[in-house]
Amino acid sequence: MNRDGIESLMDRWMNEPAFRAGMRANPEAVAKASGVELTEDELAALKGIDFRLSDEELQARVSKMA
Amino acid sequence: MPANDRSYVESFTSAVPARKSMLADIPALATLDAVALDALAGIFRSEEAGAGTVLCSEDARLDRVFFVSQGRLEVSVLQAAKPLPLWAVGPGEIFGEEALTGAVAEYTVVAVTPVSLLTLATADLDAVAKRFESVAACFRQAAADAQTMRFLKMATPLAAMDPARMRALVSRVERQTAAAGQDIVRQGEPGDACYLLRSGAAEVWLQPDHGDARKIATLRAGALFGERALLTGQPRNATVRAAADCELLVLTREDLRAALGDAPGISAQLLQLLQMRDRPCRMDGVEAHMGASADGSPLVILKNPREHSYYRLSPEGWFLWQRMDGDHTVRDLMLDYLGEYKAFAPDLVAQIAGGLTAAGFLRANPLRSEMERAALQPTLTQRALLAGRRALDWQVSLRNTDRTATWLYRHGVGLLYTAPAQTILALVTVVGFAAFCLIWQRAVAALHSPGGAALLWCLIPAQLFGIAVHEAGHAFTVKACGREVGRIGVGWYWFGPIAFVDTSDMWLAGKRARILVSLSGPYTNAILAGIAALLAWFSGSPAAVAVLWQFALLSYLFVIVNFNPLLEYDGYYVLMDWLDRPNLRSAALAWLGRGLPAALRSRSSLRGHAFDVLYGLGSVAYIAIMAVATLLIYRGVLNSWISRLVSPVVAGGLAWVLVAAIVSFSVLSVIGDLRSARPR
Repeated sequence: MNRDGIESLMDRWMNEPAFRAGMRANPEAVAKASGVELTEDELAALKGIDFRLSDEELQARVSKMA
Repeated sequence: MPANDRSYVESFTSAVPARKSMLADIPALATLDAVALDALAGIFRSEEAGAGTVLCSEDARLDRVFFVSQGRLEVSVLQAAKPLPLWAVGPGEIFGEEALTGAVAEYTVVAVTPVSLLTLATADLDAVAKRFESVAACFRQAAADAQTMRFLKMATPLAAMDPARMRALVSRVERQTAAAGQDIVRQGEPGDACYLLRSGAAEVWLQPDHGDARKIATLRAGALFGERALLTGQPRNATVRAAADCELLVLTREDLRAALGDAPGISAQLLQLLQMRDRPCRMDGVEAHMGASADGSPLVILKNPREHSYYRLSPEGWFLWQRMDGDHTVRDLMLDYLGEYKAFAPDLVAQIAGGLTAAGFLRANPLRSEMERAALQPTLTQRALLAGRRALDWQVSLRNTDRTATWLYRHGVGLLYTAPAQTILALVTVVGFAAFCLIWQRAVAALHSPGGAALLWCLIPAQLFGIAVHEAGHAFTVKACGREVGRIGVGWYWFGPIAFVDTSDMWLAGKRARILVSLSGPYTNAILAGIAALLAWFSGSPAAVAVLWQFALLSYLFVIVNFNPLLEYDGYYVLMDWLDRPNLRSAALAWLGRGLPAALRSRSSLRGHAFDVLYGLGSVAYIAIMAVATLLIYRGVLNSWISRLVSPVVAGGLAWVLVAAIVSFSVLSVIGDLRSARPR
């Protein structure tokens, strides 16, 4: 795996708001435009961006009697 | 900067002396002497342009400098093939300063209104600049400042800064260079400035207490660094080394604080940056309990015993949680996640870390807390919504009740949870309900007998007893399931007073046990109703029949009310657990408020949220009905009570005020729920 390329994308993602927005919209195009050569597997990893939020704080269970 | 448009119109039409005075007011030309200003004032030409006229185009060679006399223009750049507006230019301001060097424009300027301009052709400017080095220096500096402005606007966390403040910052900001390999900041040294990387690249190196230094990030143009030490006064927590020749803008503490106070957007950007650079660290004492969701997929419930809070983690979240040891940065977590799950999911990682921090499962970063306060200043509307929510849901409680509940359970109450006792209680419930139906007419007749209504006062202590037994039912069933009882108390919830017991520890139990605990309260009321009805059945006294039957009736009504799933009563928890959808109500309402408008345009996504729509609309409708009922019933009752103490006019007014407050808070609270950003 091209770790340098991935790390480069990661650094830009962390520091550049515009890059983050671009990656959310079209990760493959933005990665290519940034000059990072990625393998098929790495491109698949980019497309696999997962924005799910299945993890959450559980609300207090307060058994009330009205 | 000159005062107003009119003065510029006058100057525009006047002769050279007036133009000279006008030029002297331009900050970029303020250092020119009178002779140089005379020379410039004599070579200006005047231009007019209508709204929509493009005065200079990105990538086209600049052939003149523009001085705005009247009207407004917009400076923009193309970003991802779309124009990104940077700032407006108005009377007294200049653009095209780079014309002296024959540069290509890096921006587009379009007239927003009809404009009057004075322009200076490149050839004329060049001739004056050759005679006066000060003119050349002024325009070079103005061009450099304009370029820095664009850089700040386009590529840095300070983009949201007010243009006037940004110009002031640009005029005083110090510029530095660093050769490749040179340390810009060193770990452990005090921090008296932070840096914006103007060009080049830099590496961030962390030297742990033990072992070799490791590179934790690479920074590129636009990156801000050194802000943590500057704001906290703590030593630098890493070394930043130039990986190539770098140009830097040096910001002082005052510059950064001024920027943070300038726009909430800047604080939010920096907050996000800090979150990205964080090294999340688990709170001590947090327990992890393995479990499974309704569909059998594994999950982990975290419990923070100190805060009595719980957090549900997916296997992916658990994978990340185990690495949140204070050594791994968010970047490390992202890379680990990529390696494990073959997915580039920085948002997910950042939001899991953010959610755990907000819920108190990770150690708070004091700087982030301060920034959050600055960035997330609630608006007046948000404060009103919050006040509405608090007014409708407040509690007074006793903590550390588990020890008492455990003792009582072990010394007698536990017998009620044996199979024979439960069989008897079930029989009493069923037979008691039959008795309640059979003695209906006898009880109603007793109530209508002389003095029957007065007996209803006896129901008040009886119902208080019923409420206590209801909550005891929840608490002891929690003990029967082997979990801890939380707080016990009283309070107000939406439209009326409540008693409650906190059964949150049941999050660590299975779905069936959670449902049983929720059902146990109403079931206890049904048992009490059955006992009362049986006693009434066997009683020969009309007064006893009247009181016992009424008690049974009210107990059954409580059972029905508490099964209402539209507010967070027992029925709600049963539904939530049955569907295995934690935070059901807030999630459904938040989706109704934020997701529905978009989903209405796409029927397929609407189908996936049919339950959210149904539940959310039902909940809102219920609140609306209850608000109307409050207006109609509460007001009359309150009026009647208060008029015994004060005059009828005052009582009427007070009743209206109280009822209006309840209804207003209800409306605010529903709006708050609908506007909530809870994940869905």
